[in-house]
Amino acid sequence: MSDLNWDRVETIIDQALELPKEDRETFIEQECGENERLKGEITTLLESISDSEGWLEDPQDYQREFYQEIADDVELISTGRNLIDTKVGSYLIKEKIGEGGMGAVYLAEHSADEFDHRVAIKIIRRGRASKENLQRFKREQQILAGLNHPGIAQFFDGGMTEDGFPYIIMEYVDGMPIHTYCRENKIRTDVKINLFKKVLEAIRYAHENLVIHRDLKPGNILVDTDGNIKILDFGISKLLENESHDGSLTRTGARMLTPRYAAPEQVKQQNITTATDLYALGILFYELMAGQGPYDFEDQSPYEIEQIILETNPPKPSARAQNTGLSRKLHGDLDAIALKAIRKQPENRYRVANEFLDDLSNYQRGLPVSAQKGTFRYRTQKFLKRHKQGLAVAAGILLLIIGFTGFYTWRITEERNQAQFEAERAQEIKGFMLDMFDRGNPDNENYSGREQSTTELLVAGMQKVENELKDRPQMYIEMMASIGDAFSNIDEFEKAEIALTKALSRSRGYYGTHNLQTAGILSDLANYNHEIQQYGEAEDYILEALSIDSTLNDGHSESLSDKISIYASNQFLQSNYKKARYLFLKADSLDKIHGKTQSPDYHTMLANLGETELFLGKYQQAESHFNQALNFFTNYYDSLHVNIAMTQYRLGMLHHYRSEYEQAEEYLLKSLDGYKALYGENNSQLSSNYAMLARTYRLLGDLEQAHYYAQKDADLTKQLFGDTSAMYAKSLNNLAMMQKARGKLQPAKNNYEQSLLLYQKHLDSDNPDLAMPLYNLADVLMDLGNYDRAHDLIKRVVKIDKARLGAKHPEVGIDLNKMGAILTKAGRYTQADSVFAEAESIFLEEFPEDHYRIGEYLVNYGILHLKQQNSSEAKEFFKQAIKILKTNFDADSKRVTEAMAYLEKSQRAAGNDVN
Amino acid sequence: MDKPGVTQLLLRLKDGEEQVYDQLYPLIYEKLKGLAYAQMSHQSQGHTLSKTELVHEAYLKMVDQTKIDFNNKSHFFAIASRCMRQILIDYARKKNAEKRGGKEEDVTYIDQLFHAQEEKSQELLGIDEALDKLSELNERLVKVVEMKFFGNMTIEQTASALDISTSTVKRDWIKARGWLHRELKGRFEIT
Repeated sequence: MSDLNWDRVETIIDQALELPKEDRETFIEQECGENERLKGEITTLLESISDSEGWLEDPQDYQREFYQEIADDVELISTGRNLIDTKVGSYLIKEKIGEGGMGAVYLAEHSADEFDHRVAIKIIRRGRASKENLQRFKREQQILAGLNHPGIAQFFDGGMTEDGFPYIIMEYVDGMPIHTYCRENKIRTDVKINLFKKVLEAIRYAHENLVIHRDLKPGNILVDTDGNIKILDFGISKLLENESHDGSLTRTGARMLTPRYAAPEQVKQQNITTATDLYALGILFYELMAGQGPYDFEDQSPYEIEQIILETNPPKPSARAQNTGLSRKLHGDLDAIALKAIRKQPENRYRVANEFLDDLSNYQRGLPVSAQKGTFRYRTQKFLKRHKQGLAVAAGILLLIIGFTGFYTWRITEERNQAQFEAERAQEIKGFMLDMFDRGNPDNENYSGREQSTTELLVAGMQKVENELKDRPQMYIEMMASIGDAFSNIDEFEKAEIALTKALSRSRGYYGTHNLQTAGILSDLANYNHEIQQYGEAEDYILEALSIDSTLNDGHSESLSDKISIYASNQFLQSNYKKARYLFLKADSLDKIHGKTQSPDYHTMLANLGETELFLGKYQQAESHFNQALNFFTNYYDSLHVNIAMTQYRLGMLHHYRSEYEQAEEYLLKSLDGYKALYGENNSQLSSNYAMLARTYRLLGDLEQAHYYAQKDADLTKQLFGDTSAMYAKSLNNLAMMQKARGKLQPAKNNYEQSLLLYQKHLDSDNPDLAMPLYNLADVLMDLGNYDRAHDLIKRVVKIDKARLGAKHPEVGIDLNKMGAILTKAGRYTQADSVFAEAESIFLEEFPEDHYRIGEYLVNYGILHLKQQNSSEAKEFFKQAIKILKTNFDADSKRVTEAMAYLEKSQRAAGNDVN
Repeated sequence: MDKPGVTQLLLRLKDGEEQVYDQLYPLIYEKLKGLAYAQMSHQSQGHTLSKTELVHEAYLKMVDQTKIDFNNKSHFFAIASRCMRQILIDYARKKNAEKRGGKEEDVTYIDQLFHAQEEKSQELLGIDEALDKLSELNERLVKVVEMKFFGNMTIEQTASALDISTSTVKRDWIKARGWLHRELKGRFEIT
């Protein structure tokens, strides 16, 4: 405003106000010209002037309260002075002992009584009673006078002061509020429970006499000097509330601070029953147990407080306890009792004080408490038992929920309150999920009538989210995203995509595009696209998520490591192993910086890193990472878990690559059992397992088993992914391998050709994953006598593998060995010789001296010498080869017998030479 | 302080002695408060809020009118209105502090029902703040608001105290009201 000329603003306004309304706009245009700021200022001010017509016209509106207060002060001062040493009824007022929102309390003595009979007189300053009110007031007094219980401060009399304020005479209690008493005297939990039972007994008595307190709070539950409970102000709120019906005191839609003991039905201004009192006592019980109440109301707006009371599921008292000893004590029954007492729906709480008392007594005697029925653990246990095959999914969902809590905990350092709020929300999500499960639970009233599949449950959950959380974007987004993840976990890809896309668009709208929450859903979508093998799209999603996270968190947040890890997986899946390894190591170091190395997530990441290293030929590092992960997982999970099965599979792979086939078989079979138990027979996870088993059995010489698993794999992948999928290409390759091993060269070649075609459709021409199908086709082409094409193909393999693994890698040695053999068959001996020389250097350096690959190499090299008429040298190579092959394979296995045949041939040839 | 004392101070005010203002202000403040109490207590039952005359009453009680010219009188009204603003704002602050403070004892649901009606004090505090801002633009607009709204003075009294025409007071009032409304809009449900 500094550059605005205010005098000019006023001048124009003054002039404009003189004009008829319709002429003002033109006038302002004319006066302001190009000065948009001036014009804006004048226009808004004129609007405001017209909007505010009548406002502030009656200063009394604002000052009435002040004058009222002055009047009240004046009266209080004067009557206060007058009241001391005056008689009220038959009592003589001695001193003022308190002043509250409703009025002042005086200590008075019975004037006619010679004993020290003291009473408290409460004068209620709020509003004067009409005649009608007076009648009601009298009636209520009679009811209150009928309450005689040692735990209730006795009501003696009531009436009206001369100037028309109601007053109440009651038993004088010298004591302190129950929570203060417990805190100051450091009362033990067990003693607190006994004390609290006394409160319940008094309330039970009142309720049996049809009197509801309506305003229970520590301030009117006192412990007197003898340690007895005394409840004050019974029914007083009722007396007052009646007055409010007549006029000014009723709240009219205005905002209101909702205090901590108000029950949901009070907030909603619905019927108040005995359950309302029990709710307030439930909150008190919670506070006495945990040391603090279930909700944090500090710094919340009245509206938020109401929402918390109405919507937020309270955390367990044990979770709110300040030390672990206390937390352990509360865990279980006391948690359940407190939570039952403060349920949102009155009918779900303790309906009568007696039930509450019974549960406390049962707890003290070690008997089962009613509150445990229908609680979280009980229900989940039941649910999990009933849905054995859905167990993994349920566990997955629960893990997701726990994941939320985990995700939110890191914010604690940022802001405690926020974290608390989030934790409560996680709690709420948990409740929502369980509710969803309950539809399939016959114990529940919402039971749909039959056992439901996991998919049905999730579909129902999705509808529930759509219907019930429409107006609560935060919950909507989180629930939709986790349901999407769950769908993805059980291979319901279309539904997963629907849920995740909904979550994403809502999140973009609500939180914005550049937001961590949105980034989280983008990560989920990346994961989902990995499941459906859309790696390019996955990469787009994860890169967007990464860029959001790293700009918002300056590049080294904890949440970043998860996303880097997903990106690493993405690169792995796209066969960029070196980049993947680099990224995994980066995620690893981030996790280490943040001390996040004791979680399943971290070890999943380690196992992924291991697999990457496996593909990079770094077997030793891979093995150590796999073992680290497997050890953690087997200790961490009580029973079967996908992480265990997956790591076993990877160890199987590792041993396979290291030619340790028996160990490979052992791990692979364990893993297969695990997957089948977890996911049933039709799960994508099984396909790689079948394939690896087939190859392992082939190398173990068990062709029947090998063919069995190869066929299972091919059938499954065709069914799951279709006959043009990359997965099917891999399976065809395996099947062809078995066919070739069984000597069926032509079908093997056809399958290899088709497989290679599919691979090339899915991969770039220099993609490392092409090496395998190229090699295999080259191999079978060699056997079929098509040497030139075989040579072309194997040359590509060598090129790819050298680029991927380095020129000295064992794989390259194997490639070169095959190339040498092809060149030998093609009669290109010189070329073959130099290729074998290159292979030899690798075999001698990289393989153990009795490795069968060296045996294979020696056979091939021998054949070259045989072809070149160097029979005696060939003979030596074959002898050596047979020795090695015999340590690896049975004496009658194909490799050994073949080598023997060559040896014989060479011996004959050598004999011929000599002759 | 007696009547001549206040009158003397008022006379010296036009010479621009600032400490005179500082002396006068608390005197008038206390007087007004006292008058308010007196007025309310005299009519214990069924009292009406006889607020309009407060500033005037203070003037009559505190100043010897024979010694004073028009200019001094307008000074007095300006100060008195400002005092009324101060008194009401002090009250609103106290009210507000009561609402927020007092964590020791829990306020119950029922207590809140009673407090719910006492919301104007918040708005008063908002008006006070906005007036401070407005005084940087045009001090006279603030004076008009103080006299008319806080001091309960009529348009004519205000015009005469400020030595401007009644139509100027009306225009000033409208502008100030519009400006305040724009400032406070969104913060309070003002009607």
